[in-house]
Amino acid sequence: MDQKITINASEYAIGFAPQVLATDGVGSCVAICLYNANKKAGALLHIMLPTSTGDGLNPLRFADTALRYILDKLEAMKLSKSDFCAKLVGGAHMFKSAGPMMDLGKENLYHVGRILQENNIKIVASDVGGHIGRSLEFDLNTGLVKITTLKVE
Amino acid sequence: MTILTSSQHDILKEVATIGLGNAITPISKLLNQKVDFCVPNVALTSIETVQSVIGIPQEKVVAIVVNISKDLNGVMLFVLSSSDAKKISEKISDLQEMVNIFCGSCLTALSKLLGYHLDQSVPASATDMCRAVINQVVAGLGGQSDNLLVLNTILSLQEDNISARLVIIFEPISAQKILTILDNGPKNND
Repeated sequence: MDQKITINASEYAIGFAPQVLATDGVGSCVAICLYNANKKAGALLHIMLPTSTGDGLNPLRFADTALRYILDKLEAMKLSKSDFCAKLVGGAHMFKSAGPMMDLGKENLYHVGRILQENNIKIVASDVGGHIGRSLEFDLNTGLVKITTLKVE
Repeated sequence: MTILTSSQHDILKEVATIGLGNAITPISKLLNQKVDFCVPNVALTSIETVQSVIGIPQEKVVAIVVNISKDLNGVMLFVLSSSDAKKISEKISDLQEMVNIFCGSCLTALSKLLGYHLDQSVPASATDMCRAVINQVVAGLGGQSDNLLVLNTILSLQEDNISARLVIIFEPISAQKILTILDNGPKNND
């Protein structure tokens, strides 16, 4: 049985050990790994934008609606947010010069941080910023997040 | 998400063929070889599905992006594998400058066809994971709607066996402006 669940941007996954949650293409996006060490349960989000302004949009695309969505889902599964900690990946700026959306990664990180703090979820680790794309694997057995980047020539 | 009508789709394909086709001559001249391109693919799509619409197979790419602005807003993207980019840089010293030049040709053609003024920014480049780069580019364009307009073709440089993606993406409001022109005819340009 395949224990690795891979998501794309604007998707989510919730799992339990020994599953591994994974995503790639994390540039200016922020991947949020939520871990409950007691139950060895975890959730992975991959948000692209900071805040949602409209109805009918994919809630998982935006930090604010995605976090609300996942915390509600976890609550419904009797997994209280007070038992979770967070690890963040991403929020980079991919272009060497100014390029498009210079501050998008920073904006994403700011709003993710703010909302986690409002929900009293502690950020215990992060690999963020810079000018590099990241992929990650979130091991629900250990809570460890393994990050991969391409070799820079 | 809106779907293109059959008529919009056909006219857009022609517009894209002429617009993107204008990249061929400058590239061919600069790299001194025959350049072909396939009939462009056109679609309305959300920021999440742009990548599957464009269908770039490589993991590590060089992506050069130019912002389009003034009457319409969007980006032009030139994407190729990092190994193909290396081959080109053996022939010309400045890949970004080449993109700058052919982007000008494409936008001039599109301006004439659509009746809108289009400006272009200085190109910016990234060498990294394809998905990460494109996610950033599209996130900036169209998060608050699901209707980005994507025009996409594959360029083939025969002699050096290089293939590259040439993509123009318009943000949702501009996409709507373009569809209106297709339905009603070009706006008068004074």
